[in-house]
Amino acid sequence: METELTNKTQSPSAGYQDQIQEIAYNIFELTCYMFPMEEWELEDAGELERPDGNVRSIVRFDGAAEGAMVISPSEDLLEALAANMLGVEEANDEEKEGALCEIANIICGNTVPLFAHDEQICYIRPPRIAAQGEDTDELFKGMTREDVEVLLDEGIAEISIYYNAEDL
Amino acid sequence: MPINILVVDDSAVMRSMIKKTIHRSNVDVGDIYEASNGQEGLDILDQNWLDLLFIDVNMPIMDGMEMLDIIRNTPDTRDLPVLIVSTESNKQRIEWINEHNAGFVHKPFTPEKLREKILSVLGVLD
Repeated sequence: METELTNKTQSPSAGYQDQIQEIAYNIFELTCYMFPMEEWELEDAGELERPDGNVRSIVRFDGAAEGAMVISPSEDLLEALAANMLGVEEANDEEKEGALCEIANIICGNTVPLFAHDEQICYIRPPRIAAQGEDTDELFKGMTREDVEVLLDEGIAEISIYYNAEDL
Repeated sequence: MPINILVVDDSAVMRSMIKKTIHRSNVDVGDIYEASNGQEGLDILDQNWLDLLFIDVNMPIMDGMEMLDIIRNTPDTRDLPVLIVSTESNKQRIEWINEHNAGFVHKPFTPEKLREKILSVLGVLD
C-alpha cells in the first residue's frame, strides 16, 4: 500500500517510519477494526478531513530508551475510535480522549522496542491529553523526531515519535 | 460452568475493551467485575467469588505488580488464575510474571488470542 510519509527532520534512521506505520496500522486493525485505505481510495486522500491538532495524546517513555509519542487524529477518526473501542454510538469528549490515550498507549508500547536495545526495560508512562497549543517540539527539544501519517478508512492520524538517537 | 472475572485497569476504555473482547472470545462467562486500581481490586476480590483476574501493570494507588504480590502471598488467593495485561513486554517483566505464576497478555490482542490465554491460565489447555 502506498502512503505519503513525511520526514521533517531528515533523520538518518528514516527506516523507522515504515516500521512505526506498520505497527500503527496493525494496532488500529486489531483494536478498532479500522483498516488502511485501499490504493484507489488514496487518490481522494487529499480531500479528507485532516488532524487539526486540537486533541492530541502524549505518551512519554524512559528507561533503555527515552522519548515520547504524540498522536493527533482527525475529528472523524477520533469519533470512530471512541465508538469502536467503547461500543457506543456517540461518545462524549471524555470518552474520546480516553480512547485516544489508550490507542496512544498501545502504539507507543509496541513502538518503543524499536528505540531500545532488545530485551532492555523501557517504561511507558501514563498517556495524557496535550494542553491547547502545547509545543511538543519545544518540550522534547534536542531529540530526533520521526513523523508518520496513518490513512485509515475512518480517518487520518499523525504520529510523531521523539527519541534520543544516542540511545540506539 | 460460567467463570466470574475481575478486570483491574485504571483506564475505563481498556476495561470496556477487555470486557468486549472476553465476550467475543466464546468463553463461558458469568459476572465481570471492574476495578480501577489494585486496592479496589483486592476489595472486590475479598467480597466475591472470582475465577480469573485481568490485571493492568501501571495504575495509581496500587499497581498490578503489588496487587499480584499480595494475591500470591494470601493463602485464599495464592492459586487464583491471573492474567497480566500490558503493552510492555520486556524479558525481565515477563520473567517476573512467570515467577508469580501468572499469564501475560500483550496489547493489542484478538478474541482468539484472549481465549487461548484464558483457557491456558485456567488449566484447560497445556
